[in-house]
Amino acid sequence: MIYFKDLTSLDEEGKYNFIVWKKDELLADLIMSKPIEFSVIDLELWINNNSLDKNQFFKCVCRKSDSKVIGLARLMFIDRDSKVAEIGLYIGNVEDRNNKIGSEIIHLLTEFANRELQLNKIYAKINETNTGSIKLFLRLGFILEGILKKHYYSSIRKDFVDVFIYSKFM
Amino acid sequence: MEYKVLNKQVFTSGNYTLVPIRFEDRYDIMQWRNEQIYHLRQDKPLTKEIQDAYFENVVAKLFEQDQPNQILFSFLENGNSIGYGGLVHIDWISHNAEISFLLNTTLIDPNSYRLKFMMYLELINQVSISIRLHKIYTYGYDYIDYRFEPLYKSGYELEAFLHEHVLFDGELVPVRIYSKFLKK
Repeated sequence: MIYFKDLTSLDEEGKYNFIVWKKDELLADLIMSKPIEFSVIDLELWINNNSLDKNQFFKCVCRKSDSKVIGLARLMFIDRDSKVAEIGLYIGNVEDRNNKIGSEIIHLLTEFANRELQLNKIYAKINETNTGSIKLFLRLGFILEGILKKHYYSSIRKDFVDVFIYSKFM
Repeated sequence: MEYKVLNKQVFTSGNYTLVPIRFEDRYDIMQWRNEQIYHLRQDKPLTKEIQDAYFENVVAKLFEQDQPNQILFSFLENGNSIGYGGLVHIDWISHNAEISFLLNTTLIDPNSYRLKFMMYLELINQVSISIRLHKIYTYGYDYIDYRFEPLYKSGYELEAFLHEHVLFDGELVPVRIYSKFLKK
């Protein structure tokens, strides 16, 4: 259903999508980021910086049926000694979000972490308002390792919310 | 040097003081970091050149910023530098930050560490309140058990226990995250 591609090879439509997603307040709140107004130059700089980071696996998610870019998938803070990395992902447009695509992204990232990086563990930080992701990670065998209480200020809820740490051992 | 973000620069309790990180302490800090590299997020020993570049390119800029991502201090006992640390990964939206702390290697026996760390926590608490943080937290490797008691005594609570999270001495050991909410 999906595949990963380097962000450095994004076409005009792909760049447009990321500029729109970067400033989407609801999406930013879900993934605990800040909405940012990006120019094309800002976007290219962001892509280059992240693509050059040796401790990161940084890809865009494309739909097989039409090759459209629909989201972002990454392994961050890859610690090759400790064999640990943080997993992060999003699907940009609400209409594209469903469990099948989410599951497949996590599955592909897990497979890469296991086979290519030989990691022992991956973990995700998810804020309590992102109930869809919480259910998905639990369904895929991630276990709760901690709750960071009132750790993230949700600009949508106008309040501090909890952040859950879910982990999976290979 | 003074931090633009701080109204008050010096924080004192008894014989212990936090002052904005001093340029003159940079090589002591380098030495302590290299001696304790086994528990730091640092993959290779620092050299004088690397340390000078870090102070010039990273630390010096923190003093001028309205919202720096870290605020570092020299930790003094009776006016002598015995360690350093500060608030790092400061999240100005969620108003939280991670505490970092490193003590002179010669002072790391459990009893000495416990007292000095507790005093440090009291001082960093003052700093955190002064910049209106909502929460502070710290990561601790599970094998450094003498570090945990001062955290509990200072009002920190265990929020996460991350199994097999960091390599130490050839073995994957757990990491704990302790947090404290600040009273305004």
